[in-house]
Amino acid sequence: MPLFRKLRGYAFDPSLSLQMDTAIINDITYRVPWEDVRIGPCGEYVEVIDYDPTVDTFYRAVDLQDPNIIAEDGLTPSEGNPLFHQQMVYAVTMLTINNFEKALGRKIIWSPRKLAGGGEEYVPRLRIYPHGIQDANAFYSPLKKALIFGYFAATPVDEVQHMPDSLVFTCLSHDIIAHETTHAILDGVHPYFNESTNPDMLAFHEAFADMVALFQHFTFAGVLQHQIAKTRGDLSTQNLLGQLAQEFGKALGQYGSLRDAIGEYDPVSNAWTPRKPDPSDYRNTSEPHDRGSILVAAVFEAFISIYNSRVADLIRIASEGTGILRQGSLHPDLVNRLASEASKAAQHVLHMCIRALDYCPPVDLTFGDFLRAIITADTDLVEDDTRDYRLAFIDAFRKRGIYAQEIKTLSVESLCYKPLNIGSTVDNAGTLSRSEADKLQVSDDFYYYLGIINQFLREYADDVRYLTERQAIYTKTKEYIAGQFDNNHEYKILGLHQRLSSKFRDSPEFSVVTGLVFLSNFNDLGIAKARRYNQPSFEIQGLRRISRVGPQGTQVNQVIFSILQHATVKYADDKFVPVPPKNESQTAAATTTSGSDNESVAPVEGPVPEVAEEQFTFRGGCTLIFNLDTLKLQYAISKPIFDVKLLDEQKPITLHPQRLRNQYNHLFVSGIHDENTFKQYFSTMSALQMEPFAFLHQH
Amino acid sequence: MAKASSTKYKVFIRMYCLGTGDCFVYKFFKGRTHVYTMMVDCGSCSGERSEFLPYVTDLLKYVDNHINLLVITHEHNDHVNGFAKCKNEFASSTLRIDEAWMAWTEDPVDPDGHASELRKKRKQMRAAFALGMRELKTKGDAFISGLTNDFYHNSMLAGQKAFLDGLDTLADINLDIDSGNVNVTGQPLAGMTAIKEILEEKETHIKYVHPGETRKIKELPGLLFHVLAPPYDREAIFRHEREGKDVFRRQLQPYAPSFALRSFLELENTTEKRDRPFGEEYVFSGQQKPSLRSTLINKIQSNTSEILPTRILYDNPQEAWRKIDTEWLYSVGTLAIRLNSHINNTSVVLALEAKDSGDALLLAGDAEFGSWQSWFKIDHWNEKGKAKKHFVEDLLNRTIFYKISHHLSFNGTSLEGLKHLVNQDLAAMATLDRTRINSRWKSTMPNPYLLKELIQRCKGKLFIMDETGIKPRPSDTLDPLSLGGGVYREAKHPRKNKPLYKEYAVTI
Repeated sequence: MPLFRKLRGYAFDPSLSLQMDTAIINDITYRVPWEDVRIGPCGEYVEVIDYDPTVDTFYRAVDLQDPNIIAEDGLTPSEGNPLFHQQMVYAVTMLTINNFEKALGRKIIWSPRKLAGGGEEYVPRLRIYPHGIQDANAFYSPLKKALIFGYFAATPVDEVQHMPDSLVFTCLSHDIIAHETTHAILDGVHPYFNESTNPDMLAFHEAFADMVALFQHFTFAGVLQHQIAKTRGDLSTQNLLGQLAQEFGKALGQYGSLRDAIGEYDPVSNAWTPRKPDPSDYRNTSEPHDRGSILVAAVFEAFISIYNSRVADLIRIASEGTGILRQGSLHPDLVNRLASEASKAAQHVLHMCIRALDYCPPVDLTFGDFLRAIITADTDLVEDDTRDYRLAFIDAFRKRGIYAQEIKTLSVESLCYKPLNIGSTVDNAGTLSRSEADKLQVSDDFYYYLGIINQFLREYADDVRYLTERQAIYTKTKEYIAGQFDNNHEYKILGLHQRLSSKFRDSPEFSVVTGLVFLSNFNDLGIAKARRYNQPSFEIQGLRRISRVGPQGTQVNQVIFSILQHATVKYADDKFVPVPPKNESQTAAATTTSGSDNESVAPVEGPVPEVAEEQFTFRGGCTLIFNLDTLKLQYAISKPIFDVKLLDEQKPITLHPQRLRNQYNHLFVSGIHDENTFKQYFSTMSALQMEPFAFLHQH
Repeated sequence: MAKASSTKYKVFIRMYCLGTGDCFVYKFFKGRTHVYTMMVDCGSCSGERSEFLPYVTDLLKYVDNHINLLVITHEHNDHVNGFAKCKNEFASSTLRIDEAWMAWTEDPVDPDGHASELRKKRKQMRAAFALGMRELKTKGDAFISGLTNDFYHNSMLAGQKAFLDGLDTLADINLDIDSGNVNVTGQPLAGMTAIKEILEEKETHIKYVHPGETRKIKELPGLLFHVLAPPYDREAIFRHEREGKDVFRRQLQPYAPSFALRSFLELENTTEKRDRPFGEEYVFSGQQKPSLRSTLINKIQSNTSEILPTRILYDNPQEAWRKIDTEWLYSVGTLAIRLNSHINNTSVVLALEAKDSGDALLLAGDAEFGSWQSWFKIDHWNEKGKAKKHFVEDLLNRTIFYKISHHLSFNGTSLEGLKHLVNQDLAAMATLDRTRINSRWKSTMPNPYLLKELIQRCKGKLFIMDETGIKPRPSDTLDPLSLGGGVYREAKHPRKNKPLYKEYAVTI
């Protein structure tokens, strides 16, 4: 079987093919991993369905297995041929998916469809509608598990008859496709990142999608070479790559955040100047796109610093130590080397950001949390940071006023999540032992139960290690969460959900570690009862095995999962009051097809009527990272639902006051003014949760 | 001293409180002599004829059946539907209307075609809005109702309802709705048609006003009527808010009100084929052209080539939840917002300036962001204000009364404009009544920032039609009744526990 399928396409979008100076770099050949792909294209990950409901038309679908098409590296780029459009969306989506899989070290699985009654359904393929709406919009629909691309006439609709030339297709823009695909992937990894619980959440989704689109450009070596050779400016400063990013931003889609955040051309001198970061940016900007642009700019600056440090020697050699290059064209070898360094740096930065996703709390992420995730993930994988990548990130974030909460100083050490390393140590004989320090940290019971969980997770890791089918991974993972049953509805495997329920029943220690309520008085806090037991309800999400090898040979073997819990809260008389959950009705509505305890994978959320004005769902969550080699709980990255301090002091516990206040302010006080007009007229809180991106990209 | 006071006018500004919407009478007095009556608009978001009558009856009595000047700011129901609902009253031959002003966009004599183009676009947008909304109500509801197996089914229903509420809200003021039936022809609103007929019947002279012109009125020497808007610039007319730093900046291009407009219009015409972006040869017409592979390599393929493989996927009943047949119809929301904003931006905006005192009154209609921006771009007023300011900026500095644009919404008063309203004597009136308004407006009206800022700038002299649901209330800063009857008064509705009108007097 071939390794790659080559498909021709636009590096940017069709408009650049019409300009003499950019046409040459715009037509590139995408190399995506080979798969047998059916007509559509319809492959393992995506299915392109070219149905245009606005004109009630199915278009013919491209057959990428057709030898004629294979021989030609795909269809020739053409705006007027919908079959090429299908090929283009397929190529860019697959490239993006591939980038994520390489960085994450595991298969991408789309977020499952939630069914009425609490079950869920595996979604094998992301659906792509290249011509789904007539609007200058494209979005990922979490409800339909689909990317819907629009097209629109750039000329007056009512004055000129539609000419094919005057139409703009969002499905032909690399940036837009990569951006929307990233939304879909992120939804599969962190489904609750769609929930706008703080000013950073939607901004993060946008910024992350922009970063993937941007850095993917920098990995196209041909484009880089051409640009570096052409723009033989002052290579030692950051201008070159900044200018490039600017050029990328000019393409269709006009990801404003890229352009505006990084820098601008001086209208008089026509010189590009990087935008000076302002420490108050982060504090004063709240519109999601604007806020997202701060994050993009920060990561971009980190990239520039990394690139500069990587090419410093090259520049010295080429300029014979003067730093000033000679007149005339650059030597092609130099161009190649610079391009390759830029491409490598881009790949590294992209992968650092993607890997960080595994170290994020499952809810209520802030940019500061993301920075901590980047630093921690990188520290785990790359022990010796010889090129100061981590400092580059910290510095760029600091300049924009992005700090992590609860951190006193900005350094790699303090930003890293504190390793817990709770658990047993295995000696050569295979017996478990505990260190004295460990004994002080946690009780015997807790240690013992955590050991059981650890063993169980190792079994899980062994079980999924050699699974290559995505659906098999999904099914196996679900079995490990919810348990496996025999024909008599008896447990064959006791699931993780039930293990946690029984091991940590009324466990203050586990509650402190996770910041979630595993205590008997959960009801007072507005947390629902589990369906089967008189215990607090919680959800397990994103159980996955991580296996990565760092550049210095460091191996990371982990199992990660998140626990989520929520309470319903009302704001009345200047106080937050937990709303007692209605458990009974949900118990009745629960249907289990396989007999599994579906609760483990679905949040207990009944019918959502239009919420009373100031009532909202308050979530806490914790990402637990277990180290398979040491059999220890390595990190617990938590957004606590309750005030852990009170438990320590043996006082009656309450929901986390500061987080409640922040979310309330965002939802009802400050956040509402930043909404766009479209949202204000047409959305509700629940609609926004279901289809956040349809609203976000609207005007 | 005597001479100066003799040129001063006392103006009684009366806001009829017939629900969110404008209906104003400005009575000008010189000394004790009533010299002139100007009426501006007559409409409300809600209410039947019977609810309009007490206000209109009082109004006609108050003006003593004689209006010197009637200003119609723009074609929205909350500004003109009173003329249709109370057509008999306004058409009555006992009522004299000497002159009427409308925006240049209404001018039937239109040599450069600008106005008729706008009207044509408006008609199309109205029709498309009505048709798209009708389709979404039936098809969209049907689609979502079928998704009972989805966890989010109830949320989807609620979301759909909220979306349709939003459309209804915009439809209320942009479309004619007769006992639940929406007019899908795109014809001008009944209120606008009615007042034009009435004026024609009365042989009232209609003047179409243009931005940048200054008019004088012979009964009001010493007063200048400056026309600030509607702008000529089409881009300004279509701009409802600051340009977005958003993915699709180009969506704000003025010529593209909604890209789905044609498809919406074609919903009415089912026999005609809709305009496709690609050539016929790409359309699947029952048979996927067998590819080389399917004929040579994969024989099975040819058996199923009767049906397009992607169509089989799409029509799979198990995956009906992924269909997108109705998804494009939601673009009607964008269209509705644009229609609404562009009509708001065709509002006549007047600034009345007293030559001697320099005081000014700003009557902003429902002008939105684009209109506000355009005022400062009127070329021949460059550097014509004090200290070489733009004349409009200077006028705003001297404004002592502001008829707040667009019911205290954020788009209605641009921040750039607001910062020029610095006069110590500033007072303002807002035609907002949250008890008589469609629910979705409430999310934008009042804008809390604007509300607070205006209360502060007016030192509490901000008169809102009804303060129910307004936080903070301007009357907490200053009880308007404490200003005294000569400055501020209210009259009670004959039957309801609501004001009939609120009246504020200024001397300029």
